[in-house]
Amino acid sequence: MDRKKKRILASVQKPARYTGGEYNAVIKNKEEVDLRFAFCFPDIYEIGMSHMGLRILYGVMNEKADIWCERCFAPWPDMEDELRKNNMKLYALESGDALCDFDIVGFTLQYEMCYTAVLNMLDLGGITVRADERGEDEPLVVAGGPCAYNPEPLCDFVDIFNIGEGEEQMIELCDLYKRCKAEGKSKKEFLALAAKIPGTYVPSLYDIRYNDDGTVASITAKDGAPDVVVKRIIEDFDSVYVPKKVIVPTTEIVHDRVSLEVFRGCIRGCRFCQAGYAYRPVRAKHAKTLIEHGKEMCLETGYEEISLASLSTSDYKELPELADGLLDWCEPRNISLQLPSLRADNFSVELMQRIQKVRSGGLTFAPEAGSARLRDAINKNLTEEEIMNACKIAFENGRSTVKLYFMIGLPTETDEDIKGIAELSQKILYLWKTHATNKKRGVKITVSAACFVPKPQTPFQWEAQNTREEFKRKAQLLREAITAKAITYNWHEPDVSFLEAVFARGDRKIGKVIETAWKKGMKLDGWDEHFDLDTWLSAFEECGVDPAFYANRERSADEIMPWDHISTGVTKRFLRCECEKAYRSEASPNCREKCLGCGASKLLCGGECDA
Amino acid sequence: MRKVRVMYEKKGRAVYISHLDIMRTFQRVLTRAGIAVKHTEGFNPHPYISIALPLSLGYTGECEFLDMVILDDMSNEEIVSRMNETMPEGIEVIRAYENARPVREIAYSQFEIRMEYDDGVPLGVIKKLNDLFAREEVIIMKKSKRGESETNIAPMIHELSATERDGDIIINAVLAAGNTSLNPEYIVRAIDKYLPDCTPDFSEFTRKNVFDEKIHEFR
Ligand code: SF4
Repeated sequence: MDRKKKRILASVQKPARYTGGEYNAVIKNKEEVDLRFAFCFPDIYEIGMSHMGLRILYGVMNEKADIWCERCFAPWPDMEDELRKNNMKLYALESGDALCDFDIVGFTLQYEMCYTAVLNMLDLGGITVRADERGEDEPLVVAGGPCAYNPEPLCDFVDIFNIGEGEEQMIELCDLYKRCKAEGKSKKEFLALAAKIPGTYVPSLYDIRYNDDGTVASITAKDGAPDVVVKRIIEDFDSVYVPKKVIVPTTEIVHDRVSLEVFRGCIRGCRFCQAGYAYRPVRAKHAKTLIEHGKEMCLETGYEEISLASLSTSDYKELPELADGLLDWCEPRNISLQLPSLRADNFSVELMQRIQKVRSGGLTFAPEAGSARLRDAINKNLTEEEIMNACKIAFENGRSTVKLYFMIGLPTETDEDIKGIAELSQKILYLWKTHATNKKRGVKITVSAACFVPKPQTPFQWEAQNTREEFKRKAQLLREAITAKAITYNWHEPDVSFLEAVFARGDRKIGKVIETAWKKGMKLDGWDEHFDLDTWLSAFEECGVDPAFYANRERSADEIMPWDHISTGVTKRFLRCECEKAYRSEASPNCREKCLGCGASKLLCGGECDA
Repeated sequence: MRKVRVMYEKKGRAVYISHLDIMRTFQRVLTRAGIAVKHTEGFNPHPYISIALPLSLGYTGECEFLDMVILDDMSNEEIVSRMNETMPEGIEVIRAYENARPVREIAYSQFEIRMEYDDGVPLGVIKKLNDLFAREEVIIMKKSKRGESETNIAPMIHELSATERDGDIIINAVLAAGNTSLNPEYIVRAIDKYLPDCTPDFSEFTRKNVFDEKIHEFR
């Protein structure tokens, strides 16, 4: 390590974020590889290192002898100041080389509020921020992840978006890059060829025209790019390569444990949830496979905890087998098992009690809406009876903390629905009074109400978001309706959700706003202490863009959406049909009960979902 | 079941691993290495391991000790090789042994302080430093359990000498450790107070050795 870097690290908080050298980090000889890839996570180390996609793609790419994939995270402002002050560029952790020295720099976009961090990292890494100004010899900038399902706000900065699951597509893209580099092809030639790889969106190959009212008039592909880019999926999910030698950070991260991805997709179809639609079709791994992976990963990492990852773990068909198999192995080794995203409806008492032996925790539910009517409208098929039943069992087993997650501002919501949130929590409190085995410890019920953000590629993509004033009024209403002391109400400021709504359904006009706000100092919008709505509002004004047009406007059914040329496999017709059902407060059966033909199964060659 | 002391080095990128994190790191190293150690009792059992002297963040350590109780029959050599196979970059076990001396017998630590001067080494700095720390009284503000107070650190300095190496000034100091201990950062603070024109632009610290009351190597 050079002297300059040593000095910098001595003056920043948590220097271990910036050192690398963790166990299982991959070190290769840069002279011996053909392609250097910097996997960038536009948030700090502790968050990025917890991310499953990074663990997977890092492993997949480094499996290839001729590719070296390294990691880079957004620096905390103290580190950024030091880098800038000392004229040092943001570097990747493995080699310590600046981002501008790489062939490809790839960002994963997990949430909209990371967009300015992408720009900031490019700039700190010595890379020209705007794609059209970037030189031939500068790195190629690619991006993927859930936000790429509407990539338009970032089109000014990104050369290529990966739509969908990246395990196979990333390698194909890298192979093409190596070939083009060897043949001395220009960036433009490379991009035209890249657009032919399924799931690859090259924004510079699309012309967008707008109507006078600001809506999209047309989206035209050129130079042989596909009219619609359909997302990539891994068809045989059970046998897809899963890296076992996961990097073990030497400083604590958010999810500091082995994480087993049980299945992709979701059978539920909650209408507000982008992941529920975008990750279809449903594909699961066998319990046998997962148990083997879990053991191997524990042995390779030394982690003392395994967590199951999926959108809805209780919907996993082989859950009993999986839990038993893992617990039999874990218990004698003092390894604990975490089962997040369990549903209350098929809550297994036995399972809960067995897990409790290894580790205890509170009870968490996400009813999302306060009334049965609104739960039907958003297609959250969780009945009050199911919640009560699960709580009753938990209370009888001596548990005494319950966390409830709701959203306010959902389509078709009335004030009665809001009051329903308070009523439901009060009923749970009453249930505790009548069923708790140990009342001395008291009960703690936490109600969190997030502000609903309409997301692209969901049945609610046409909806207007509540204004900030409406959100505040509703929050006040809820606060007044909750009277019991044992119930804590956590309310979220609507400012961030408002911006999220703008970015989530933004078009290419938003790019200018992001760049302007970044130049005004916005760079870690996901962190309350660094978020400033006023700065953002002034950026919108300067660019002549009205944020309410994106957040608070209801779209007509036939409007061309800025992301209409990006397909998750689920048809727009299906989404609209679900939207109209919501207006009628009508729930849909889940995929296991009845396939509604959303379109996603066409991505599979067998043509049938493993719902 | 037997008590084992592991002596290790912490250097390079690993110097930025904090004391708390190094404990967790060793827990995982032992798990990966397949070395079963005694766990604490209770609801959330964790391996019963301890580190003799915490090392400040950013310091290199050439003489660090980890104590544990191993459950299986395993030779010391095997412990060393198994641990080193699964170690993060920068930590290396030098040896493992039984019959270690109790930690309370530690009385002194030997540190090397490497001081960088951006505008070149100040004139006469070596003599000035050696003179300063030869005094009977070197008083600085020092933190203790009872808060900050003016403290004479001279009695806590057993030995100190300065030399020049590759354009840096190197201080070699044997300082009190254990109950009343003197962190080498206070040496730099004393320089800043008494010899402000000799204050380095950056200092790097290495713990080289540990001694008992009689300045015999502690192991
Ligand atoms: S194709 Fe049918 S079963 Fe598969 S995700 Fe769509 S609706 Fe569900």
